[in-house]
Amino acid sequence: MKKSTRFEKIYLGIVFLLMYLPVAVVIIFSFNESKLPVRLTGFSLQWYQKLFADRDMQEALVNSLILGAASCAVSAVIGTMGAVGLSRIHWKTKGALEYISILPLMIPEIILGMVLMAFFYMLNLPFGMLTLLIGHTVFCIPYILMEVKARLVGMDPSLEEAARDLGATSLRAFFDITLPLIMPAVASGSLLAFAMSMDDVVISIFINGPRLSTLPIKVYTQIKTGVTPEINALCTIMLAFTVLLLLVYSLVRKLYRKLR
Amino acid sequence: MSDSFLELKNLKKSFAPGEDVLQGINLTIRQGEFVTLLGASGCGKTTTLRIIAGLEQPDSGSVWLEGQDVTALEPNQRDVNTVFQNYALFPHMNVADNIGYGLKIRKAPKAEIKKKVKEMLELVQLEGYEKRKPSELSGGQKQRVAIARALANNPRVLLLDEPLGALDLQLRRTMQLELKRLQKKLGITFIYITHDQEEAINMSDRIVVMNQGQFEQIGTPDEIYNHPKTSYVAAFVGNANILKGTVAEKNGHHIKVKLGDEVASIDTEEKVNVGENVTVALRGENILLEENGNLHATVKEKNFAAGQLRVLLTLPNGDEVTASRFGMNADIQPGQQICWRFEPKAAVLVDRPKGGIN
Amino acid sequence: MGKKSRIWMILPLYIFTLIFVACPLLYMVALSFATPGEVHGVQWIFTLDNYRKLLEPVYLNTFAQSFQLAFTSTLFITLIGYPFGYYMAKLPAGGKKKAMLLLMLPFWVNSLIRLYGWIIILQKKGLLNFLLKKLGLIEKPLKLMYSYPAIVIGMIYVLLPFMILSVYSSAEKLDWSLVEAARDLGAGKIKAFWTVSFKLTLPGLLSGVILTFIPSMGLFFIADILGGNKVVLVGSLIQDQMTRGNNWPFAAALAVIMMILTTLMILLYRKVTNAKEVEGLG
Repeated sequence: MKKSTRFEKIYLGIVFLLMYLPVAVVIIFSFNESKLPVRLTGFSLQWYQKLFADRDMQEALVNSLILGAASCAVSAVIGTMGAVGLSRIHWKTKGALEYISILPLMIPEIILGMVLMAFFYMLNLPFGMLTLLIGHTVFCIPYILMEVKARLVGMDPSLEEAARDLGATSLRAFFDITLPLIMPAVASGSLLAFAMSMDDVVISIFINGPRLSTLPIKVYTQIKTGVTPEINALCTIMLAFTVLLLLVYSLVRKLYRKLR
Repeated sequence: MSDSFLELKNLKKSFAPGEDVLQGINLTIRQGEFVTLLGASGCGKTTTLRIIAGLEQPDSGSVWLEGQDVTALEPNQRDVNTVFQNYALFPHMNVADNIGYGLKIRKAPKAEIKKKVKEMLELVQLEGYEKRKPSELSGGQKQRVAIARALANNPRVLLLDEPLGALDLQLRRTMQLELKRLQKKLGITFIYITHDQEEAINMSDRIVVMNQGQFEQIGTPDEIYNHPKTSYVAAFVGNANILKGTVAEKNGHHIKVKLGDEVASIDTEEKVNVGENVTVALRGENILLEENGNLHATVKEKNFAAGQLRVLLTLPNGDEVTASRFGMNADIQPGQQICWRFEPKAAVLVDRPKGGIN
Repeated sequence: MGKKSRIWMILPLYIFTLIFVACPLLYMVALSFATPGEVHGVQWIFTLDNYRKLLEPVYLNTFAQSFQLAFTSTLFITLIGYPFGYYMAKLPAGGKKKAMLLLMLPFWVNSLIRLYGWIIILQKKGLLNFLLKKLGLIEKPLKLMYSYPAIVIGMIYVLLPFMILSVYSSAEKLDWSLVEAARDLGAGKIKAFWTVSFKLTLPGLLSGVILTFIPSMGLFFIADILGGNKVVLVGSLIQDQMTRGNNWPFAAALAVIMMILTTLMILLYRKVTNAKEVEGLG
């Protein structure tokens, strides 16, 4: 009974094919000589050259990288500390806090974006890197919080107790035992958060301000104006970058499994 | 002071209102003693151990170690180390780092740590395992490392929380002997937790039987097994049958007890009066199925387990008892009427009011 | 007991969450009852006008359109995603691993890039029209872009993995011997599926529906890129009111309604499945 039939395998194959078709099209035509994305005329790197010459693009890329790294770092610290704290404290407000901090994942992105925009405006915060950083941290924290929490659930509480029993202070036991053991979860959560930050359009577009642009926003505005081979090239680069991130992620996972 | 090396005074603990885990326990342990806390899960034995280790604070009462009140001290400030139930080996450290962890915290020189680790590994017969990761060890090896790690700190008291619980029977027997050997060699006080009466009897100098946050009986294995004080101890440690009866006759230490309509002879040191209701504990192997027995029963069931034939008997008064004997030959069938008896010395009166011994 | 030392660890999360998640959401609620300023900004005069405005036919129509689109998309996603997740759970262990990787990979790729690929395929002078013409199936290029079907394709494309993952995670836990038992007891293949497999994977299906239905009301950029403003979604409306329309209180009211709908769906889901958390989220 539990055996895949040929039909089932073909079905899976077709859906996967459709899933990857658009991505493949983007990559293939980014190396195409012709400007029109219908016929393959020859191999060319000209669109990449054009892209790299684009000052705006470079700036957007740098912005995205800074933003991704910063929001990822801030949320890694807050999220990890929070997850560890939550696992040890039994306050009545604990459940509510946990719910509110994961809320950014549950509510539609657009609402989060508009809410933050209105709120920052009320606070008189200048729209730009700072508002983007806060906004991205808001939706990055849940990823790290959930990953670390899951790891802590699987962790034997007597490990830290054993360290204290052997003479370590509470703080020392945390740094010697708990932190190294949850580090893989922190790392994979951070990578996930980084990828989400590099991917975000909806929230960023509300809070980026008039001058600052991130890579996804740039792609968004360009796509709206029409198809150009430069965007193909840009998308391909972002794809390559994602694959690289994934490789790092799976490496971290492997390390994590080794530790267990 | 030599008699009370470690002392627990009136420890009370509850995790939820109305649910007392410890109801005021007192215990005095001598230097170098092997004491076992024996009880079913949830009886409070682990909580007692955690309070001694400092991992849990009692609601009231105190813990004294060598005449010093250590109740308020953090676990890292006590000369007490624990072997945890699931070993709690640090998975990201190798065997040597695990064993040397306590010394490293005390900022011992590297050479000294290395020497001590080697010494400890020899002690638990795991020479050459320094570089192994816990995940590469078998259950028994993990157990040895956990013991070595706890002993490396030269504790005054070693606490062991069901350390053999996860091992198979064969290994458990070997480790029992080994632990006993270690304890004798090192002369350290061991406080051992288990729910396995066999383990407790094999290893301990004294056994503390716990039930629902209280001590039922404290005594040597012989006292606990052969002279249980309560029906709980008799049933839990000796798998004894508990019978209710009335004293019918008394002649010095010899009494006759009415069990329903039948009468059995019992020898006891207890002070009893004729007409008094008594509780009798009788272990299964002491029930003799013999034709000349003065007691009667109906065979309800028979089954074979752990090398013993168990015969469930229904007495004329409706009580049920289990007789057990080695081997599986017994020419009896369910439904059959049989006769049985027991030696007067084999039965024990339990649940006596305090201070009633002659 | 060392427990005190944990309190400071939780403080940053507490403070950050209260200031930047709880406060903004409360601010949104407050804003939805405020009066919009003449040209820009907000006047703090209590009013229910923003909610009354929602009842105007134009906006009711927006909600209806949004719902219709969300419904259509979710329907297609279910039809494609449910068998997919179910079949995937039947693969051997190695196949499962590979399929999972293939499924997660696009998940990591910027959804814009993936949508962009569809533009290349669907546009007037695009790949699909080119091929169809070459094959002689059509004379004139079809107008595929900036249409309702294009938006639905985009929605399906972006949200399908969510459905697959949640169906898969519940189908994976399915005890296949139950299906065999049902067949053994005389149920036909289809009957066995409906009475056993379907029933047991229903929680996954429902969480998939929620995970796709809610976002499909808010993913305004899909409607924007592929639909070219043909269909105005609630999301598009919010964005429009926040940026061009400058009517923040009205946008807030829209958002409050959407939040309520979202919450209701999650509550409904919990009621139906008795589950604590939406499957596939963790």
